Amino acid sequence: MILGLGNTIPSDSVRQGLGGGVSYLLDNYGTNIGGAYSFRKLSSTYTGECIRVRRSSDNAEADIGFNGDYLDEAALLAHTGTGGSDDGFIIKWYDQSGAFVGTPSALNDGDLAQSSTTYQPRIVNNGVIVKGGDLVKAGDRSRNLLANPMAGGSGNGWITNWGNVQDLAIFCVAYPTDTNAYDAWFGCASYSATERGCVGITNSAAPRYLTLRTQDGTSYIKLTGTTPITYDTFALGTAVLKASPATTSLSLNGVPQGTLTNWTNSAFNNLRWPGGASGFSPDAAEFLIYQTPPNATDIAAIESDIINYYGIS
Amino acid sequence: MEYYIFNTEEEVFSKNAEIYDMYTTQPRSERVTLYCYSVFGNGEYFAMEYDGSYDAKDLLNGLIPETEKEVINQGYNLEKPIDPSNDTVKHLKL
Repeated sequence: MILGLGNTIPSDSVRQGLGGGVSYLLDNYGTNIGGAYSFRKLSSTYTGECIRVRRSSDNAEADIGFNGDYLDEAALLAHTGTGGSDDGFIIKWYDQSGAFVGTPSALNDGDLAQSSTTYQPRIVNNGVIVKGGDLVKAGDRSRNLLANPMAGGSGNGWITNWGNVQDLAIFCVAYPTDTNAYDAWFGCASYSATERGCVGITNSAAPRYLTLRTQDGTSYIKLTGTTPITYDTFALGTAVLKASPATTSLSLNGVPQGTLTNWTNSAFNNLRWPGGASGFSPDAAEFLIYQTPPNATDIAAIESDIINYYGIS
Repeated sequence: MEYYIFNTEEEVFSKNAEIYDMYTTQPRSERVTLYCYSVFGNGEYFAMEYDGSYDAKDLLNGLIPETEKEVINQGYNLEKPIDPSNDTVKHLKL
């Protein structure tokens, strides 16, 4: 059921499950989850922080948690300040999946991180939280990028240990803002600098479309969507990559954009969100990756949950 | 934009981190943010892109900056910034 909330924060009643209790996405669809990043709480069992933020006034860093089920906006602004030149940048987006089992890199474990000021997504701009409607998003600058592992070239025993033949599914909630931006990733899994499971935007004349880059080591686009990208609104890109049977699909806002039947899995050792744009990268709000794709019914249910929450139409 | 060339990855990120250290009071061990300028490679050397937004003061004295055209001609890929290796990050955080 799609309620079409228009980018407003859902009331608790929207989260009520059939039994009357609060329902979280990963409580219902958490099997084989590999990484989960959002400004809303995705799991009833997650008790950690939401993000770590660097403020522009003195570059001090602090963790920001949740207030109820959503990012603690008061704590965020208390840290960054609300003056006309106060900015805040995400330096770490904490993983809510609980899936990390490897050896942490020098900077992060299952979390997404960025150690360079140049690429940290902006979440507070001139003392105001970056939002789409009433919902928090981040980015708001060129080439913003968070990665796992952040310290390059090592892998961290997590996504690498999923193996060389794994399937995966990616759900990326983005907010494209720059009609001139291309090669802008909604999010991707990659092997070193080679994007192999990358949901992005075409490098073409307007209108632009969703794309999927797959296993070849050349970053070439293998699927191009058919629905034009819309701007200044939330969008959901879903990529399901399966080797056996060799079926790979791409969808935008739950609408199929194409399939492949020649997908061959490759190793992944890096997650990136969103980054890679020429021009402003899309802002983004949520990024889920499953080590094994859910079945079609559950994929549709996950998409419905996300579309409902973000008011995507 | 200016580009400063360094022989090793550890050198370029160490200098980069020294510049950023001047603009924060938190120790590196407590920070995720370690440096402030993009780094590019050409397979042999490393170029730090410098725009003065974090003033290096005298930390780059003695080094001669190169132009964007010069570093492109030397094979640096300015579309693909590089991240520090795990070992370099461990060194920076010591």
